[in-house]
Amino acid sequence: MQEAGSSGFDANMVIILAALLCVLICALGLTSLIRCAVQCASGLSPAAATPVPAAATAGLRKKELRRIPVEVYGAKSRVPDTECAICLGDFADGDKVRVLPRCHHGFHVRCIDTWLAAHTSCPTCRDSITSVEDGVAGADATPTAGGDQR
Amino acid sequence: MTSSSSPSRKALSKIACNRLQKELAEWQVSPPSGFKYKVSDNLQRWVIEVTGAAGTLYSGETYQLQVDFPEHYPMEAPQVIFLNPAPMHPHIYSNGHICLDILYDSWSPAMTVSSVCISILSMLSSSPAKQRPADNDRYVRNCRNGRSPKETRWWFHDDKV
Repeated sequence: MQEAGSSGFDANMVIILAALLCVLICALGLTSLIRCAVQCASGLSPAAATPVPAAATAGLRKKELRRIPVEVYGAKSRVPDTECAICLGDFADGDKVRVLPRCHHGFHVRCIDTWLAAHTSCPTCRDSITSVEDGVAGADATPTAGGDQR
Repeated sequence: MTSSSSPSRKALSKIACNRLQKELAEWQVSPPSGFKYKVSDNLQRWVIEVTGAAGTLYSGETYQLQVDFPEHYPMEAPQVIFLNPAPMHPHIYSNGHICLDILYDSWSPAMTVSSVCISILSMLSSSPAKQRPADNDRYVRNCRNGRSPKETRWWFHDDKV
């Protein structure tokens, strides 16, 4: 008697758990669907009031970023600048400075990497960074380069 | 008035704070000519007085610029507007919004408040006539509920002024 009761209880439990699982899956599906719809809507109507930085998607990838040389600032380093134009701090001995290959402008690694995550131009001279190396695609480089946009 | 409504802002990040303190120190050593920083203890909002350059349409006139800094300045551009009354200029709307590419798409973190100020004064100085933009009324109507100019999709069509 005791055993039969507990097995009935188990069966009920299993049904309840299965139902809960179904609800969970449905909820997850629904949220992802809604998120997708929202993204599509904002993508279709960029004029909407939501401030989406246009260039936010056009940054360098990690792999591309790693190819830009990093120098350790010091007496022997070949960094032409003495201060980082992004944080306006002077370079100190031992600072890691990323020197852009084409224009040779140098910035703290931390400062420039944040910028290049969303842009592909040198902050100082706006020179495009993507077209520097053969392996790096230059296709999405143009939107952020050049000051005179139409 | 748009200028009084502050956008829902987050406090400055530590990086932004450090950089602004450096900019302010530099400004106090050598302010751009024609500009005066109005002292306040709010690092996130600067009010700057501009005086029109001699020999231009705005000679001797003074206007006020309000500069609001976002949490992640200088990775994001500051919001720069003229306080009421805004100068009459083909690229300045009557609500103080300024159509200038470096304030939006062409912002770069190597720019400073000082360099932005100089660009704005240069824009004023090269004005051919004291007039509002052609679409002023429509634009201002659309901005009624205190919209930031950074939310506008600007179209930079005129590189002469």
